[in-house]
Amino acid sequence: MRSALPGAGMTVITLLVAFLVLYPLSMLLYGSFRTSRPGAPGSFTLQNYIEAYTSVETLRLLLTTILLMGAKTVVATVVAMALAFALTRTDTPLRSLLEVLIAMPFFIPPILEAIGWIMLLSPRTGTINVALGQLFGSSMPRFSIYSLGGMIWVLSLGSTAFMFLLLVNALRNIDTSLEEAARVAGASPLRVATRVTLPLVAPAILGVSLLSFIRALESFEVPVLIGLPAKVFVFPNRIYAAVEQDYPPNYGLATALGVSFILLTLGLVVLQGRILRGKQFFVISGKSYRPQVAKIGPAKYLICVLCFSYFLVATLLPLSQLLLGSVSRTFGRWSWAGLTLANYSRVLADSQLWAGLRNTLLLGLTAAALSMVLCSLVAYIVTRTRYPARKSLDFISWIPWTIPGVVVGLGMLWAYIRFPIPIYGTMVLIGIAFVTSGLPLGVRLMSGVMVQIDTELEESSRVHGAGWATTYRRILLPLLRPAMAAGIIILFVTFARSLSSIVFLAGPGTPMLSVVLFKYFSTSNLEIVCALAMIMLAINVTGLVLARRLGFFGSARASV
Amino acid sequence: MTHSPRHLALALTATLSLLASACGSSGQAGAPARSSSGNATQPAQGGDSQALYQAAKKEGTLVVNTHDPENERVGAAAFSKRYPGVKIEWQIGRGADVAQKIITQAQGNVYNMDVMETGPHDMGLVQEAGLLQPYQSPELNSVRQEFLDPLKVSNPVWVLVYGITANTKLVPAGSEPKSWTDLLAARWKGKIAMQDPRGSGGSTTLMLGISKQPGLGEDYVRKLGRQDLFISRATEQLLTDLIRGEHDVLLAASAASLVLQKTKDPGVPIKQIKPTEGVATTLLSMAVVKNAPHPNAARLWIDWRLSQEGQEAIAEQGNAPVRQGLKVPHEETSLEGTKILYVDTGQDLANIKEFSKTWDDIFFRKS
Repeated sequence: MRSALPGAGMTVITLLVAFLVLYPLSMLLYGSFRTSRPGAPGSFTLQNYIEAYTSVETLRLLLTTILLMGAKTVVATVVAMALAFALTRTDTPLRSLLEVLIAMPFFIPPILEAIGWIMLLSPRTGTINVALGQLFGSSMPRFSIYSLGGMIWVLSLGSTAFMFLLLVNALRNIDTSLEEAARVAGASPLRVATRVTLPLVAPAILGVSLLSFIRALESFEVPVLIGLPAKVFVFPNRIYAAVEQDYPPNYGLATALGVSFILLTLGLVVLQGRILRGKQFFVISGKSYRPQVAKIGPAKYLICVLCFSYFLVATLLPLSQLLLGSVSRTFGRWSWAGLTLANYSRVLADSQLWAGLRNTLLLGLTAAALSMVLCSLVAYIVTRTRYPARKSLDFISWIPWTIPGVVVGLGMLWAYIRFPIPIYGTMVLIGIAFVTSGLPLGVRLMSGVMVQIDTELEESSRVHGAGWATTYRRILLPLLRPAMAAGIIILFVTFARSLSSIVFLAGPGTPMLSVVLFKYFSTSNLEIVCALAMIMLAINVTGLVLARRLGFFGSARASV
Repeated sequence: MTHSPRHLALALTATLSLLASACGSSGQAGAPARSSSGNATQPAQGGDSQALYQAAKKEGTLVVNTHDPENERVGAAAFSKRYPGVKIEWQIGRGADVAQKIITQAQGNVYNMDVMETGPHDMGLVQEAGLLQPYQSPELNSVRQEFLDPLKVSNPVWVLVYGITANTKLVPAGSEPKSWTDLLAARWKGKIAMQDPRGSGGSTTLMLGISKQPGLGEDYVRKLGRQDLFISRATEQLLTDLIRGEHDVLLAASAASLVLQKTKDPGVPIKQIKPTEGVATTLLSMAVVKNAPHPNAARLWIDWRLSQEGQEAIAEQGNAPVRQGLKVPHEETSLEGTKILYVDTGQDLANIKEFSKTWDDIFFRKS
């Protein structure tokens, strides 16, 4: 495959990404080998690495973590893929509605999702347990959220929504003519799915599973909220303890612990490359096609019911707890007399919320858009050129995903506080932090689609005399638009939630949404947090539906 | 907070303002320690509140950190009324993050905070980095002695009070535990919840206090460990679970959070118990940050926070004031006549890792 992007352009992009990721990382790594923080007097030490890797405990935690994360990734991949397949490749009724409903948990902060399940499955007072006790008598064995099973359950559900959002997008890009050909040749729907569709989206599935697997290291909520009482300890607990429980907070140790994940990720990325090597996934070609869904007869009603059941259990149950919480005086204490709209009026009257919402929308959407453009270029280099540093570029773009947010935030602070260009304390720096943290997800999303686009489209454009920039703008970007739109929405939600980077990097008086959410959380105003989460959910879902209506999710020639 | 009517707060503030102006808001004692920072603004004379106010007014702004400005609503309103022209700007964030930020900013010669208000853990970090300007308010004369900073750098502002909280539906009146020792009875096995004591927080303070208390000590902690405690990091979830009846009693919930719950929902079935051996307390203090851009506004704020008016506002918001002889509207946060088991001022931070290891062993490593 010939590269059409000029070499100089590729070098600039590679250097830019390397700078964005490696500069803050180098500060963290430097800090992990020093007895003090960067900039302060101190000496070289290996203590953090000795402490991190010489204990049997660390090894045990790593193993438990890999098993737990592996289990939840397998469960979530299978469920998300089945749901995404049913809603994009079959004529299941109400699939547009179902798609939004199933994606909803992604828009709820993970900590609230976990709290929702605690309310449902606490051993003594969990709503489900109480209901089962009333139905079947008190001898009925009770579920306990505080168990390994409980952790896998909550983690899997969270990942499913996330993976579903990404997989729906990958599946939608496939030219149905291949599937039709298989059907015409007499293959059963199951055979078409497993022998044609599944292999075509294999790169996307692998990329998304990998994202989900590694993302779990970022999420402290479930290990801390559910794992700790269950006395199930995983790696994030250890990193959390280094930052939250050591005095002074040991960011060096947290980084040293995080290094094992950078290496683990490297291994997985290499493995992913091996699996996909030599395979072709071109499915978006110059030939016109009409998207078609398989007609599966009466089975479609069964699938519709199954999808609704999934929505009911995975989304509606925990969401109902949060919704009730948002209209109660005391979270978890339901009574008719205790119902109130005061939480909503308090949130809506908060001038900081509006300023925060405005700032977050403005900065978050701009950064998400910029990030996706950069990611599309990175993905282009990685998947469509023979640029020598492409594999390194691919790997570097993974790194921000492997280090916990609070540590990344601190690395950014160390890196940019004495930066020659005075951007510290400005919105520009928060924008840079956002773009950097958006790389792993954006590149994965774009690569998944990019490998599906046949190079003949580009070649034909160039044969007709168009330069690389024109080809990118006129041919590739329109084909990538649905993935771009999905990416912008997903990144925006991620940015809107990120607290550490904002607390570390923003000056006082720059309210952002996550800071507003945090202030209610930190002062035990769970009811108000719930009200705020409901408002955010409404805004996000409206955005998602609007984007779909406006055709952002339809592919260039094939609107679904 | 949905229930505390604004006009009530305003009326109270107005009354207090009258009272404070009648009493005179500051004494003459003790000139404040001078900082060696090279600020352009001339520091006003300590004790002369009018001169300090004029100097602060010239600076115009005051930057101070908080978890939630709503928590400071009554105080901020009263301060703004007494000292118009000095605008409060809040740096919202966790104390730990704000502390890290001050420390790292200083390495880049960026100074944008005036007053740091936080617990001993985070204050200790900033102090050890040499980033606090010593300042002792003239108002400290009226503060309980055990709350004063022996290094004379920071000033106390309020305390967090930790006792036992019971669910009144599951623990009827008369059957509550009266002391820490009572909790060792078989009746409480599997019924007690507590925040994770390793690191920092209310349970850390409580376990430190108990470990160092003659008659309780590590032996007591070990016996408590055999009671199968439910331990979680999620403080707010623990209180919610207690209210729902998932646990009978909760250790080391801060009195302020109980006041907050009761203000929101007066019928909530929880009750605070102050054990006979005493309550544990964490001291929150305030200090002027080195090279504060508004040093006079910073001192004015600290003086006012400790004044009768400032402390009444703190009590009204549900926190336990450090000034003596105040009428505290919420019984939970009143320390008058209450035995104090331990005041956490950060004196045991150096050994916290060892303590945490012991507690880890006691509460998490049993079969």
